[in-house]
Amino acid sequence: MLRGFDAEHGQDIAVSLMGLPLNQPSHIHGQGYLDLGFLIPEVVSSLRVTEGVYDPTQGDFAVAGSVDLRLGVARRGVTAKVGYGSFGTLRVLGLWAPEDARDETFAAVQFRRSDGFGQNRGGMNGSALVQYGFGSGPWRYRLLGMLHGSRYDAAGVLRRDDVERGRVGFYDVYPDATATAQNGFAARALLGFEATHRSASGANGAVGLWLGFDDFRIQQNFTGYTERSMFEPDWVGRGDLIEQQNRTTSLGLHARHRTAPYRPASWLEGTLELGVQARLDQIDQAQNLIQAPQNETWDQRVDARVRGLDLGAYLDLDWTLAEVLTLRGGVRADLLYYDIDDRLGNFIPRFRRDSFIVGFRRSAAGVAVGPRASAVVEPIEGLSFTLAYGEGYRSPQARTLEDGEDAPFTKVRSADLGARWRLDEHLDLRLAGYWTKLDDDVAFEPREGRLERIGPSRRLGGVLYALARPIEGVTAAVSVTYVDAELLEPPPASAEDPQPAYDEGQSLPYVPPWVVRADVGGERELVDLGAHALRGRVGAGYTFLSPRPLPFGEEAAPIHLLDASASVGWGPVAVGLEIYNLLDRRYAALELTYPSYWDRSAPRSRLPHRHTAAGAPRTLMATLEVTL
Amino acid sequence: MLRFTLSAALLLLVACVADTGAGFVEVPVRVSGTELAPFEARDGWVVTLERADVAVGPFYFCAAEMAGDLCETARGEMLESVVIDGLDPSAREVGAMLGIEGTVRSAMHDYGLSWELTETAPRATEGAEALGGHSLVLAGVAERGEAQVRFEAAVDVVPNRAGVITVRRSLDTHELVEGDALEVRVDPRPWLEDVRFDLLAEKADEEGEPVAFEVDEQPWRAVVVGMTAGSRPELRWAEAAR
Repeated sequence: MLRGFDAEHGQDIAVSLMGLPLNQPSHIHGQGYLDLGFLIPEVVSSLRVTEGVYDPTQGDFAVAGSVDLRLGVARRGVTAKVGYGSFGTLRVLGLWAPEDARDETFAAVQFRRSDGFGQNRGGMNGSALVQYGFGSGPWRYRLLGMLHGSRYDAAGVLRRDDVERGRVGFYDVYPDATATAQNGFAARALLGFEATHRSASGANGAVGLWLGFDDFRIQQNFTGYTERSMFEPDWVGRGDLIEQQNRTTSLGLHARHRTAPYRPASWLEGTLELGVQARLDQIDQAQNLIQAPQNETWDQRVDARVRGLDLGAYLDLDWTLAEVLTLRGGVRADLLYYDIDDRLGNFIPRFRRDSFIVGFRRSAAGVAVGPRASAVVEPIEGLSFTLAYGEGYRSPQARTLEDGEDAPFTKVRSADLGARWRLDEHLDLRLAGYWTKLDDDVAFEPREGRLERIGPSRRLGGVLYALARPIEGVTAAVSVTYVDAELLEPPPASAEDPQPAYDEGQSLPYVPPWVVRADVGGERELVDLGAHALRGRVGAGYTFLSPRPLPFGEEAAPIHLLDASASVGWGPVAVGLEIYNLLDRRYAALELTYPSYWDRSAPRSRLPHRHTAAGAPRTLMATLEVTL
Repeated sequence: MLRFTLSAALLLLVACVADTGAGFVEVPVRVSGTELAPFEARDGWVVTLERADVAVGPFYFCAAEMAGDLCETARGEMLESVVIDGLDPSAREVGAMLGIEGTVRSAMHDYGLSWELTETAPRATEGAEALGGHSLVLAGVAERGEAQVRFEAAVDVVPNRAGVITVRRSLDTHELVEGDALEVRVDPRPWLEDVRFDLLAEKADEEGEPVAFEVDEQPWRAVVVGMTAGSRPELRWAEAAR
């Protein structure tokens, strides 16, 4: 959750790995779909979070902001780590960071399996991340490879009235085959190469090339037994088990050059950067209804191939005046091209006589141009004020485009006003107010199991962030975000949707107005034990999400979670314990409101009902780590 | 103390939650029949009804102009089916309809026999079960001149395919709000007006035993058509003070 944007499916936060984009355009499950399951936390050296859309380098999906994951391993050597905990969870990590190489060079592999809490949540995944940095002098090179695979069972959602009546347990799955067959599968490969150059004058640049493959398949049933086959209308009641498949093959490149600092006057200094980012994607996607347990296909909803090209270029100016005022600004333009082979387009219902062959091939193109500007004033050392405005975009789901349509980008307009006060190393305070307007927001649609457009929205809010190091070895941080998120103009009632779930001016669904996160951690030497000292580390984190508005006037319950961790280390050996949801609070990680039909012994209800997916109960994980 | 302060602060923050859109309402449902004097059918027989119990429900109320496929999400519903004494004009509260505030433009309902998507055949809900698994149970006498025929009927009105609701109809547009009430009134007279009592008279014996409506014969079909396409139950809103 960032600034009132729910990043669950990745559609509103652009995430990259060492500059390589991770969001998936035109994904069947959700535009900008993002799966970070491949990450190995031990090799993430830092996160570069850019809130808002004020940086010309930010491209597609940078709506709430962007995050770049930086990889590196400071502790060199060979590390083996084993963790075992609740619900039969096992995690094994192997990490090699050659001592004679730079931090960016490492190879890591992890495997994880778990029975999962409650019922039907078992799964396993594995990933390998390898990065090799080489070269010396002005030219440096970096090669990055990633491989990931995962498969897991899913319990899906439960109707709250079924849980309250005891028909099904809060952490259970419906016993029906169509529910127990819910699962997910993902496989991904990413290969990137980048060459960077830095001259003695300060000019610098980079050029990179990357190749990606992503395979996604999921089976989910949100609605029970409500669907009728489009192909054969007498095929009904076989369970609304939606199968979504998405395979994307991508080729991308990026290049940038920043000039050496230009000093036309003693009080004025600045640089200019020009950059280009491009990607070509081929996406094969399908959505079917299948009947468990044999997975017989009983309806086809999507069968399409999309080829997309995104060509973005930007100009970025970065100037400082009298070391007090820093102005940064520029412009970015993205051209998007789509070639769509919609093999179920112009579908012919069974009752109509064929007069053509089913299919709808089409192409579309569009351009998104947006200015970006920010000003930072630092009147006295440690105190600064920021003013920023930017326009970004989110690319469209290609299948929604008509032939020759000027591809309707979702335009995002964002403005910030903030202040920062840094009191030496002990205190860092930030306060920012923000305004963001999207001309087409999205929300999850359970009947289709994917994100759908819900019209323009506006978010107005503020963020308070404080970081304190009151005494040596202790760090505390708190972040409080408020957002007033309003749906400005939801799709009006139509013949196809006479009863839209959303009203004009209502709060945006699923967005909690308040989000609080507080962390405190401490580390110190406990006792000197000869060759090495025994070091201890403790930490705790608290998360609060205020009630989230749901469709049809409903509201999800607030969430409070407390996590804790502790570890001791002696030289090459460390043992630790991590506890998630320490207070074992029962909460719904996901709440949705829509009609469903699960109790086949009763007449079908067509009213929207509350559905929940359970959040994890108290989960313990003990770890043993050895580094040689 | 710290905990209290924190809780109070969070409570204050939560109080700032904005408008979440239309809310749920519960609407009482009242049913009634019609005080029926002897009436003349189209073929001249004068009919006196002695029993006319009909199972009605489940009910769905929709925002679409026409109920049916466009009513996957209903504006309101009462899932129970109930028995209405078609000859008792006094209103009787039988339960409540749960709904969402907003516009209602159409409705659909079964006559106690429903066919869900997951079933291979229609089944009786509680209203029909109370009538022995039927939608309508009738008894009465028809007279023309000196001739007299006693009759009885147990009629099943079943959906024609799985997932379909038997009666779908438009209604006058209504804004559903808390405090409204739904009134369901049935009038059995039109259901019998097209029955050809001559055909029943031909089957009557001398002992005066009641003649039953046989499935798919004209009297039976006339009643089914009357219930589904002719005179369907009247659905009326008793509006809350606005």
